[in-house]
Amino acid sequence: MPSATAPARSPAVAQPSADLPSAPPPVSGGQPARVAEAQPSAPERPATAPGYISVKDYDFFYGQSQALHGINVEIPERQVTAFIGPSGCGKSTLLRNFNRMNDLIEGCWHKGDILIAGKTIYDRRLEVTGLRKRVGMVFQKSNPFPKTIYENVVYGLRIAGGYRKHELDAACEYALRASALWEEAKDRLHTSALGLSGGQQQRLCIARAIAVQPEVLLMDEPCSALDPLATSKIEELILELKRDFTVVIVTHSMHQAGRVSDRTAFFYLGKLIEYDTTKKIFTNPGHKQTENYITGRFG
Amino acid sequence: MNQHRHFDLDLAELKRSLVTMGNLVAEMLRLGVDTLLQPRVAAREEARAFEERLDQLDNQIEERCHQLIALQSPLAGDLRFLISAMRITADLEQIGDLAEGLCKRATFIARHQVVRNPSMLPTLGALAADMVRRAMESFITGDLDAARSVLGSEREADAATKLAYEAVQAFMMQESACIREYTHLLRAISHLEHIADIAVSIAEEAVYIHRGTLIRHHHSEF
Repeated sequence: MPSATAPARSPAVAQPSADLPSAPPPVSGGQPARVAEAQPSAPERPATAPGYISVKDYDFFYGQSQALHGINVEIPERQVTAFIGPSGCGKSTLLRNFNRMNDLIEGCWHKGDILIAGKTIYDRRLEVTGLRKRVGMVFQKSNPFPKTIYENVVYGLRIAGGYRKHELDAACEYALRASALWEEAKDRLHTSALGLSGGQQQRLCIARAIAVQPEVLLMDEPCSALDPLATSKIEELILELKRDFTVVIVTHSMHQAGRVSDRTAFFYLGKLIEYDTTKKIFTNPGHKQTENYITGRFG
Repeated sequence: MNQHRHFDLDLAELKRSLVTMGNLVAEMLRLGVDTLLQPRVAAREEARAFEERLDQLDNQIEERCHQLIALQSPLAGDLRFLISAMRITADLEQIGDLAEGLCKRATFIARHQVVRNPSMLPTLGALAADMVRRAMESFITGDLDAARSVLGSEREADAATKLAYEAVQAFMMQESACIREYTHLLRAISHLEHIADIAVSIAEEAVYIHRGTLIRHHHSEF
């Protein structure tokens, strides 16, 4: 499955770099400017504050089958929000709605709305490809293209067009540094990405997703195929990425949710059962169902 | 939707060990308070036998808590239970030490000169023991009213301690020949006050386990 941040192939993308920064961030002193200038974590928002992603009375259907029931959730900017719940609870479905990945599935329809940065993602004037540049996605299984490391990273920018070589080089270095892969990959940028280890491939996919400078990064079980060391690297990376991006992660690992997220949402049978700070959810959840799930009593 | 877990059996077994430890401490406390009211020399040895069993249980429970935290990575209520179990074990062990201290003081008095007890002493002894009993009941059953009643008794225990202290000070002035015995008696009263404080700490742990809120230093919010 192609990465959401490398949508391409549609002529609609031909609006050059309008949705992208006018040029990739200049690289100075080996540090990407945007990362270097980034503020520390955003101040903690009250739970009721409008989120960067707002889900409002959202129902979602696969044909006759309703997958999400009346979801309301406010996801804060530049924080990590974890979606947890047993398989089939709707957490991945909701995640995939944020960049309209489910549009690709026939017979899907919805009620209610999803807003990103205050604007609905279902605006008829909005290009879905433009949305997917703003909302990048990393999948459970790493999916590098059978190209070089360099070409993988700059894929989205090449598709968008209008970049000179030195701009692509700078963007590549920025993205690989931001995804903690630069040191391992800098001497083999023009070799096949398929030669990287599983953990490196997953970080490459993260680099590819952030090269186009999205606002939101969606991660669907990004570590489920990785060993503990590679998992730990991705988790450290997630904590760094939240300085620049709003991250939403679906995970089956309760401890991963505890380690990386600021807020946690627990879903069950297509409903949002509880949404609160991660501290609260993992020490003193408000609902018995949440407690039973995170302590392994069902699911 | 609930399913049986081996971890639940481990937690239940741990809880049983804590109940055993609580019962042992209650017996030691009864021995300590009885001996203080009617000093006798043999009590010291009896207390020592209890103390050995208590130390053993303390080690076992603490080690088991460490193992379960490391191996099961508990969360939410399970995590709160294990954290509090470690604290309650330490609390019970300390009450055991203080109860042994009561026997030690009483033995000294029995060996030398049996002196007058302040009239408040039986009340204070019974109150401290009852506070420990109610705190343990709250921990075991989740009865938060029991925890609340322990917190409510704290002031009563402080007042009884003050009265007992003042009475002993008056005896000291009247019977200066027995200053050493009365000093031991003062220490024993101080042990009882401390036991009542520890009962409050156990009640706070019970609230943390069953309600998830830390109320230490914030009793008014409970």
